[in-house]
Amino acid sequence: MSNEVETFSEQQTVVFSLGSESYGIDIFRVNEIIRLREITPIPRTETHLRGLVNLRGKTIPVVDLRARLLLDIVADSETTRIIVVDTDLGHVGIVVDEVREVITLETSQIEPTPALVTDFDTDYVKGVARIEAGLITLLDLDKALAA
Amino acid sequence: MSTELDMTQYLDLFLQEADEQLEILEQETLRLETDASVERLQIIFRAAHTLKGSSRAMGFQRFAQLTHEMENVLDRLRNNELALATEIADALLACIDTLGRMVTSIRAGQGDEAATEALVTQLQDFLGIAPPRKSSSAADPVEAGNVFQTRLREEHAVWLRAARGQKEVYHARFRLVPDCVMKFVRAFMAISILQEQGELLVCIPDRERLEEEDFDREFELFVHNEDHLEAVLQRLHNLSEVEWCDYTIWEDPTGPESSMHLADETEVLVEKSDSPGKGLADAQMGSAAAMPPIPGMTTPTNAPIVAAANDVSRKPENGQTVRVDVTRLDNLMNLVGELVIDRTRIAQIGADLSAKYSDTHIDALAETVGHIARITSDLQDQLMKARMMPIETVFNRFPRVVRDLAQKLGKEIKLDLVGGETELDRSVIEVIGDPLLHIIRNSLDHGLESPEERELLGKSRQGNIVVSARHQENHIIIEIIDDGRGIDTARIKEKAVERGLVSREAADRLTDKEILQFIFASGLSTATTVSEVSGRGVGMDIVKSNIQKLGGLIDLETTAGQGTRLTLRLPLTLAIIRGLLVRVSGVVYVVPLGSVIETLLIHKKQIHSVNQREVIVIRGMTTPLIRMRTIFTTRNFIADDATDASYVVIVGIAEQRVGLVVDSLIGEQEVVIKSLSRFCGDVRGVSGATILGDGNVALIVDVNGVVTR
Repeated sequence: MSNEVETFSEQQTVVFSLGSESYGIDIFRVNEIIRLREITPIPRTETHLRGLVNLRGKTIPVVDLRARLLLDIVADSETTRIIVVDTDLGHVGIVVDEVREVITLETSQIEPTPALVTDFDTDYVKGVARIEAGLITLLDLDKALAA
Repeated sequence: MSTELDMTQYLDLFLQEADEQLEILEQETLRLETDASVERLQIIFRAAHTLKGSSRAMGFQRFAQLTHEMENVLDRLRNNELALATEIADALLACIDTLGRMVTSIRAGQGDEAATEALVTQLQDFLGIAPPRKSSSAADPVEAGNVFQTRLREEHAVWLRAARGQKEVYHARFRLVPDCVMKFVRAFMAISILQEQGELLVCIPDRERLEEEDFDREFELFVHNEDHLEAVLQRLHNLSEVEWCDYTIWEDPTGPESSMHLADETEVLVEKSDSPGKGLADAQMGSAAAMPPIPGMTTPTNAPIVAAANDVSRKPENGQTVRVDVTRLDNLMNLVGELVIDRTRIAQIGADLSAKYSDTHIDALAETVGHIARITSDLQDQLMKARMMPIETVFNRFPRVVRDLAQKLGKEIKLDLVGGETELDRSVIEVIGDPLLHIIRNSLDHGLESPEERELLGKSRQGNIVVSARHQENHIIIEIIDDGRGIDTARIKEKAVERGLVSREAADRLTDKEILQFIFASGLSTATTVSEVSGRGVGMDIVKSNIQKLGGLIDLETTAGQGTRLTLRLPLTLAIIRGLLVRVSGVVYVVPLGSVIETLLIHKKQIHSVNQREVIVIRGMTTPLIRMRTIFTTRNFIADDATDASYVVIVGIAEQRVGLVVDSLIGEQEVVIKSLSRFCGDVRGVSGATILGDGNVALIVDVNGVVTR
């Protein structure tokens, strides 16, 4: 599941926003997208692990991606969603400010990360995609979620 | 014959059967040493025989050869031609071990790899030393020569004479070729032929033994038959794999003193039906009841076998069972777990609606919800019962271990297993075996004295270990009791001080019971010698933590010179527990009710400070307090103004009592335990999660983790 090589000439990407920036993750990793709901915090864990939610009888851990990527914490809003993704350690939910769309990216649209563009560790970043509306930072999900 | 068939599809069946038969073999062989009855030997023989047959059919030559040699030895044993000695039992057990290894090897796709030559030779040696017993009972199977000795017994000769009064009785005799593999099939075909236009009266050996191929090469059938003798004989000669057969009018031997030997059992078939299958079942039941003991035999071998098999082997004869894959049960359990959660939710929604509105629909809803709640509870109960297994499955490992270890240590031990039928949830059974084994090993190694020492002390030479299991309310109590030398508390105290686990002054103030608790501390062993079995002092602490992980308690009592008793208390199931809901820092937590002793509302005046720790005094006992808010902190939680009163939940772990200070008590609820996602890792103080009636997640408190800092 991890470190998928882009052998496809195109890639379907779920685009979401954290604050004012747009990010994308590979759709094959996405299990579902749910509304924000009561999150039970787990004591004595890192700040970015917000807690557990109930997803149809299963308890899923939820990560605050903003905190993880060291962006400023923004309050939850009407558009806040939880994207449930598959990982080696089971399903994990990531809190995002808004889910924008699902687009198909040609490999030609994906560029390597220019240095200094992003203000966090570029380890998480697989590349940058250029679309009409602007730039999308493509995330390496496993690295982004790793402890 | 069978080599052309694709055997791989039968491999699973073979492996399953092999596991079962090997377990029977081991259990019964172990019991042989205390009770070498013929019934038991028969069961063991049959198990070996079954394994021989199936391994041959599957093409596992080495396996088949070993079981064949075992069969030979067992045959002599059951016919009383060979006396059971410890070395024979040892050899049989060694064979069983080797067979077990072969099964593992086959399972891994590597065929029946094992070194069997030594064992085969050893078994053959046993046969060599067997003195031929002159017995009036056992008939010699026909060896050299073509003399077919009939084995008809007098009682049935009487019956046949009566039958002959009605119609002619014919006697069919058969000898199969030496390498005939499917002997029963041949016998059955012979019976079929004779039953065309006829009726089977007596068959020797009896039907059961025929089916199990429990005979060498010869069998005989006594029938009525309307057909011409030559025609029937012709048909019988056409049977393949028959070396010799004969079909004649039966002549009544002149008397019981003639060349008739009393031998194997015969069976009287009262068969009037057309379908041999039905007749078989009837006849077997009939034979079990009607068999008289054979005169001249030293032990009854007939009907008692069927009855004895019932109590000697533990298979359920009466009930019908279905094999269910364990994963299916687990899935069912998960589904029922979710149903339980939703049931609670619906009940809550229903209650909320009822409170808010008054409406006939809502009344109907409430009623239906109540019904669903009851059904769900029943479903839950039934499924839990389906997952229960008798603890016997764990107990079965013990005799072998005790026997081997006792031999090694040169001690004489008697192991009593009581309450094997007590049932536990599968999940508990899986984990309970190793801790129990460890305790037993300890007892054997350190607790029980050598036979000589015991004699000097005026005790019986044989040391006793009793392992018992029983239900008590919602728990299962397992006790391990030995009558050894007990535990020397003075030595424990010394070791504890020596290891720095406690100061001398503190140690002197401890009661005996408290000193005993040091047994469960790691690194403490009072054994003067470290054996490979025990003595390193890292065992009991692991045992205790494993038991506690299961939500159980472990305790021990001892009397110097007389023995030790270890008591384990375990919940019946791990999946669902009753919990006390509390609120800490604005979040709801579940405290397992099994750990809760009581709840209190105390005034801050009652809180004292001792050594910088907060304690309260309840009924004369000083109980330390832990403020849960300091352990379970919630970000962004703003506490209400502190009040004078606090809620305290008193929890107990073994002898310890601790008071957990919480913000408020919410209530009791039955909760389904869900494990914390692996993503979260280990969180100290939290053992799992659950979903409450309102749909929110609540964390389950690991009382042990909270209390031990």
